[in-house]
Amino acid sequence: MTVRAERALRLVGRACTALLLTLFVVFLLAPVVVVVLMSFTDQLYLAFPPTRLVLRWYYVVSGQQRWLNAAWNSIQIGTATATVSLVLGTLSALAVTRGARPWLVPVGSLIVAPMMLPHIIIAIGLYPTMLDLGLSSSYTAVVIGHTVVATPLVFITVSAALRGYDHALELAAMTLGANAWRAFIHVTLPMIRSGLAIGGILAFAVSFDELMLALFLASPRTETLPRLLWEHLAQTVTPAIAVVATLILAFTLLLLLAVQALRRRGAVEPAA
Amino acid sequence: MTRGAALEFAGLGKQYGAVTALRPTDLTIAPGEFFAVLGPSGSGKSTLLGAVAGFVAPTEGRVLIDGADITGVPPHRRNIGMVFQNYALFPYLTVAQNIAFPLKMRRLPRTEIATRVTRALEMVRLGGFAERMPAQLSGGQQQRVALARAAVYDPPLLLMDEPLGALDKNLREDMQEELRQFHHGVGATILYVTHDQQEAASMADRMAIMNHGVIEQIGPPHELYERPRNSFVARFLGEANMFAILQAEKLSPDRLRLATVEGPVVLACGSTTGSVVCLRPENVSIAATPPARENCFPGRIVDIVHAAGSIRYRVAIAPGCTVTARVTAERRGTVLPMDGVVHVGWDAEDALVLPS
Repeated sequence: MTVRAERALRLVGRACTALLLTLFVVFLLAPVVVVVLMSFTDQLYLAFPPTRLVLRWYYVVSGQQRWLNAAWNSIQIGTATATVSLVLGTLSALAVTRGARPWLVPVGSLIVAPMMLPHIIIAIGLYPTMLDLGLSSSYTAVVIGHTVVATPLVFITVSAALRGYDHALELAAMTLGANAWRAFIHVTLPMIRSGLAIGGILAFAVSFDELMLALFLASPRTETLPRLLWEHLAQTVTPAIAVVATLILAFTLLLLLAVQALRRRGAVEPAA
Repeated sequence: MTRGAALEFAGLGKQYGAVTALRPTDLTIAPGEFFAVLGPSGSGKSTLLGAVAGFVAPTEGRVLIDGADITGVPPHRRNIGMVFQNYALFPYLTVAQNIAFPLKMRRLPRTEIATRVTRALEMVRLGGFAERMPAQLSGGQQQRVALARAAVYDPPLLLMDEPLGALDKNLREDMQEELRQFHHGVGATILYVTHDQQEAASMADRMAIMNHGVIEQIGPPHELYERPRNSFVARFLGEANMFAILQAEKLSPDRLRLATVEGPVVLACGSTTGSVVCLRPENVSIAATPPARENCFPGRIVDIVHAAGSIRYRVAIAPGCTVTARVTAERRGTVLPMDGVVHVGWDAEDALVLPS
């Protein structure tokens, strides 16, 4: 084969790669782009492509109490979920990674299991339980449901942080005069803080985006953003849906950026 | 300067399920003593140390400090200093904050903490490093910070768990010197765990050799080297030529003639009940002509190793049987040639008859 033919072939190969990559990115991002563009429409219905880009529906949404309530509910439920998940996830991570008991290994897998399980199965299990407990349609019910699926994330990030450093640090603290509680406060906590922050943000994000459990466990009074979005989709399809979807997207993106920033800090920290 | 504490193990033993980590052990360490525990991994030395620190709950027996039973006391109330193999410095605290940690835990007034931290830093010659982070220090400097942190509250007993294990060889030797001086300076009793026999021998007043959860022998390093109680101790401390005894015959009250599995028949001192003969390489003479020794064998040099300050010859004296001789390299001119025919020899007193 001549040098020229070889060069041509290489060019074709590179072009194919570029094309494939472009298609892949378009495929991944298209739904997002469509939703975002639709949110800026001036029409009364969902239309793509929009003829003009205006903030009309953003004003509409910001004026509707129901959307604002749902957003506030989502934030409250997300915060409560993150808090409870942080406590449970950290305690179980400590037990499983530091416990050194063989039977704790399957316990660790059990804690992570709800992450793999379809949310509908968890919902079916929780719904009658909440009815029995008289908690149905309460904030507590949604927070409990979301905690079940969010705790594994905290468990995973905190377990990784705990495995990332020598257990001798805590033993050293104890020989130096710290009891178990002070060793936790002065040594464990500073060592796992980026793992805690990442786990907490992920737990909040899971709760903030979760629909299935909210459908089963929330009431009109405690409805979350994804649930209200769902109802609107089923009833009145207006560009308000695209607006809310775009806002949720932007918020989630912010959370993910925060996680990335923390990851980078966490990766630098032990070396520094 | 602190007065060192007396440390005593009374029938201390530890089982992990069916595995015995430490058989019931009695041991007394004198106040101010530098005591090393030496043994291969899994010999029980870490269990012994862990029981003193309070990390390991013994299944039987007691640990006593100055006569007081501390077996059930939690680690933070034992007032013991400990230096870990990987230093265990808190990476998010400065050097000064690391050293201040035990004082903070004891809720000492801030001014007193500052004075003590400064003094401790000067003691380990790290005066200008107070505001550095541990990761900005070299391994040797980190080790000195760990020493200062373990000693800043004047504990009467210091535990050291392979503290030099992570350092390279030259630094390790410097640190041995430094640790000895540190010991003289603080006056505390030191219990030092290591698997490095040279390290233990160069620092310790006395040492214990452990194997399979049992202390094989206790004594000053030179005594253990010269009078090992069994072949494990002999082999673990320094080099040794070993011959397995096939048959022993008493020639006179202090002379044995031993037929060995390896072949040579040797003269030795000791009891007829032993099962191995141990011979230190530095006690073996090697020359082109037969040396005037009780045991003398012709042989051929099969290996020559030049070490710092000495030359080691391996000499085949029978099929499948070699004797190692170590000669101080005083004169460069006397190096014998490889494959050279030589004679090796040693006196009966140099050969120790030991139980296996």
